[in-house]
Amino acid sequence: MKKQNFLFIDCSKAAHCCDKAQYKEAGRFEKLKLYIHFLFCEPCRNYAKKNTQLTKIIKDSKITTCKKEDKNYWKSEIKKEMTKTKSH
Amino acid sequence: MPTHVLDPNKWVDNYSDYLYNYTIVRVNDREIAKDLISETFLAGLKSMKNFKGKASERTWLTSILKRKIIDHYRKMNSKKGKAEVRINYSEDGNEGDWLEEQVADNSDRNAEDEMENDELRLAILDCLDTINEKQAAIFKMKTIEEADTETVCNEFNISPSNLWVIIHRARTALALCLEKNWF
Repeated sequence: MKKQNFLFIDCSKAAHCCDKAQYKEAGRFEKLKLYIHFLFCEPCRNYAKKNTQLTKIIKDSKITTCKKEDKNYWKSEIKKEMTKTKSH
Repeated sequence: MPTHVLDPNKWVDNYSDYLYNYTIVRVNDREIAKDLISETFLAGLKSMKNFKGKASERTWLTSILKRKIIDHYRKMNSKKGKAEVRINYSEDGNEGDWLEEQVADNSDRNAEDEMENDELRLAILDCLDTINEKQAAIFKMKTIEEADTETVCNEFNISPSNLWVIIHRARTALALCLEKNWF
């Protein structure tokens, strides 16, 4: 079995680490390994650039989702109306 | 020939986030947005027989919502006289500023930016529509609602490694889609 240096990671691990970093869930050591990987991997550098850009535009857009209780309320309203229509 | 069919049971799961983002920027009040969406769904149910299937379900619901928003502003306008009576110096002991001066300073945000943000929000949701439903839901919860990994995993009954695979796929697809349709 090939022995791998613990400071070097492959592209899939780098992508995984880069994704985690977007959510501030990558540890310091993971980030260090990621930056070492970036030194010799241009595609991963490009991926990271796009990934960071995506995080930024999502944040800047101030996109929001509906609350679960609002969704449940609408679902019950629709259901009520549908039952009413069927019974007529 | 009709190409789209209506399925009210899926309206909330499929379109509520889109309709909500569309509404909130136009009415700027969560409760009003919630009521308008509710009215839209009910109006949609009542006029299902008028749906010709030419437009998509979402386009059709959005057109109903647009009417509801216009009606909302018409109603507000009809109450304008009452609102004007209330314009006065504040009487709560603070600096006696006119009502106009109490409005938050939005000088750093111009209408163009706001409009672009509105379009961007809808473009992001459009792109999320193109990926797998479950992946989109997981992505929204993790990225937009900023839920922590454990909460998302418990909600969808998946392992953290599964979560990160899904997030990676969703991010890649979303970036590609936005690159095509936005940038």
